[in-house]
Amino acid sequence: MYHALLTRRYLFRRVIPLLAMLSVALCVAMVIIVLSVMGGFLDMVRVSARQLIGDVAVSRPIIGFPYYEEMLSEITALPGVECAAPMIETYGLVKMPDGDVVSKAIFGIDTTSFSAVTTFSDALIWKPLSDDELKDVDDNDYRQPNVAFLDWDADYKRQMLARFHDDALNLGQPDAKEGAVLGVEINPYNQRLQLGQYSVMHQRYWMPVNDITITVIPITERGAVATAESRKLPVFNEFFVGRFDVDSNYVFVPFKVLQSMLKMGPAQVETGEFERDANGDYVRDEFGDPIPILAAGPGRCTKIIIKAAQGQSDDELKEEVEQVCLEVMARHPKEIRNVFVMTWEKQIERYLGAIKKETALVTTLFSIISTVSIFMVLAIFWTIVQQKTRDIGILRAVGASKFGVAWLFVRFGLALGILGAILGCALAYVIVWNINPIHTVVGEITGTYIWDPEVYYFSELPNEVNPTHAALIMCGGVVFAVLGSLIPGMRAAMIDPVTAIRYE
Amino acid sequence: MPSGKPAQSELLISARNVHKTYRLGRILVPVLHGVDLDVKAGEWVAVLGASGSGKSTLLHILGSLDRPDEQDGKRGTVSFHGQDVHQQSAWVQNEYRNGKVGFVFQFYHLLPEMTVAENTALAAMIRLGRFGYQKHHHEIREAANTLLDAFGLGDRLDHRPAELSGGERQRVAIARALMNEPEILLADEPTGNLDSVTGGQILDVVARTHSERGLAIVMVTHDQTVADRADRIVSLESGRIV
Ligand SMILES: Nc1ncnc2c1ncn2[C@@H]1O[C@H](COP(=O)(O)OP(=O)(O)O)[C@@H](O)[C@H]1O
Ligand SMILES: [Mg+2]
Repeated sequence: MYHALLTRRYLFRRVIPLLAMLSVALCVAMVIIVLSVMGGFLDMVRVSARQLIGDVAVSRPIIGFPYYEEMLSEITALPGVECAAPMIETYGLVKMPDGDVVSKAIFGIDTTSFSAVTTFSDALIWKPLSDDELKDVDDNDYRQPNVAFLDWDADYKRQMLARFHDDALNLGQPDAKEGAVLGVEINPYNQRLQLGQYSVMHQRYWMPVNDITITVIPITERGAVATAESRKLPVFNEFFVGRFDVDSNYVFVPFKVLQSMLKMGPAQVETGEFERDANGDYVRDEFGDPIPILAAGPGRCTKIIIKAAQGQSDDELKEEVEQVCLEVMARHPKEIRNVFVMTWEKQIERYLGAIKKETALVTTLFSIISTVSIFMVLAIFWTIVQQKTRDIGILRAVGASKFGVAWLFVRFGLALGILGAILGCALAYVIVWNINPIHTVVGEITGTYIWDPEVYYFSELPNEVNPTHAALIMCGGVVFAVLGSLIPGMRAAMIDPVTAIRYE
Repeated sequence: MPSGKPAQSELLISARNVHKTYRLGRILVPVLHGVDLDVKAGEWVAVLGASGSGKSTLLHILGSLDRPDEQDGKRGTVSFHGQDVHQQSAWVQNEYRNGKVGFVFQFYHLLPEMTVAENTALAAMIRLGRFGYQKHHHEIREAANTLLDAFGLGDRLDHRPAELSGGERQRVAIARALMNEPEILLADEPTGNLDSVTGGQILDVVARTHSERGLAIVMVTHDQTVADRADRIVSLESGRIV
């Protein structure tokens, strides 16, 4: 009983034990914050990847594969599939309105199917907003009715915003206009105001009133390079998904436009015959290969992205899709050489693996740093044992056992660890929940933004704490405090009561 | 509370051939050279000796805080009711200090973080353990308050030792020593740090305790007038009782 009493008195009557508690709290808070941010980052990558690439994908990069329509309709018919969308991925040059040319990833999509699989349509920026939505938008944003643009009046601007939105939503539809939708970080004149909001430095560089010219290089099914193709396209809209690599790199154009520019449209299929000269010998291309005779055939795409139905496991779906692909390939053995079927996780495996390792590394490092709290508690308890030598002698004289005296300090360490862990956890929750405002303020004061979206892909820091992880880390903090109190506790037990009592 | 003096014939504690030598580096400091001392139940013995003669050392050995040295392969003994105290397990020795003897020191030795009432109850807390104390804590408080009341400290229960005078502190220390109703009180110059008037009051308290409870007392002192209050006086000289 004297343990509880003295623990309470020692803990709150003096400053030094509170310092030890603070060191436990800081270590616990530090590890929880690091793990929350890094773990949250990992989750954000997973979620956003999934939102942008679907659950399962059939792909053959650059060259693509034919009979995708057949494949698409059979995949869509699978019970485990909610929807699927064809797309073409390539790299190309984009000439910006100010004359700069940049290289970007160009995607041919049909918004209707693409939006069904992804969250693309939510990411479009330029659209009329309700009064409620406008409250959260910066005062200088062009979506605000009272912000002037050229000589447009508010009504006209509203109309135009609606049109930008509709055009983007109709991208790739059969009778729709041809145009492009750009990631918001592509235009260098877009200036980041607040989270997810942008203002344009010059009116003339507002993307929706500008054109871009994209240039892509068609590659034949056999890998030969054809003449580059260019096309001027009006910009319909810009999007913001919050992932920097996407926002700064992706250009969406209508599926048919990219397909025809890349010569992946119909009439590009090998017949199995090869061109021969007058003597009946093969005509050879620059690689020395015979040149196949092409005939009208199905168009190609490079990828089909698939969204699983509710409750469908990705791996099972992948196997079903693989089955369909094999069947389609069996029907067209010459035309479809191979395709890759991958779950979303597999597609970003290396990237995800790197982040997982980084998270583990950083968490381990901080946990090791946290062992400082062991030594902190040890040092402070050592001092307390020294100061309390006489008290320990008295306790022994009144009949306390060696174990009882040791327990006094270990229990003290335990209490201090528990309080420290609770305090640290509370601190971590407060900081993590407010990490974005804190980051902004610290950035404004110091001029350095630690969380650079160019490095971390996301414009916002993860701000959620995993309660299980937090609980485990708290236990770790308590264990460290107890470990730190063990040696002073043992020393207290070893104190010779006679020597201790002779003190005065 | 037990009352009535037990027959003085019964032997309570007896030290036989107790030796103790301290070692200061390579120098040996012999302190006790075969001390023999018998204390009967209910007897008040004063051990008179000069400063540095080994009085405290003897008291610590009697109370099992310290052990006698071995001398020619034989260790001196301290028997309590005929049982060799230092041969017992650590556990039994803890119980012995906790319940059978009560220490009173020259410098009071109260725990500064505890109140007067808590200091008094300390021995009971240790005896009962956490759950036992929780179960009996009303009785314990009651007993502590009664003791303190009897010593004129009834209105100082929640004070800290630092707020008390020397005499008051020593009375708290005596109350603490009596908490578990021991059979013998080991007092180490209980008045050594007090002026003669206050010291006299403390001796009155000790005397009252002795007569009311029939408690045996070994009191060591260098002061003849203090020793005179005891039933019997022995002297510690050159490490022996003479
Ligand atoms: N731990 C120790 N180491 C060395 N000498 C000691 C130690 N403890 C006590 N002494 C010496 O033993 C002698 C007896 O001490 P003590 O029992 O306190 O005497 P008293 O209580 O009669 O004044 C003294 O000379 C003291 O200096
Ligand atoms: Mg002494």
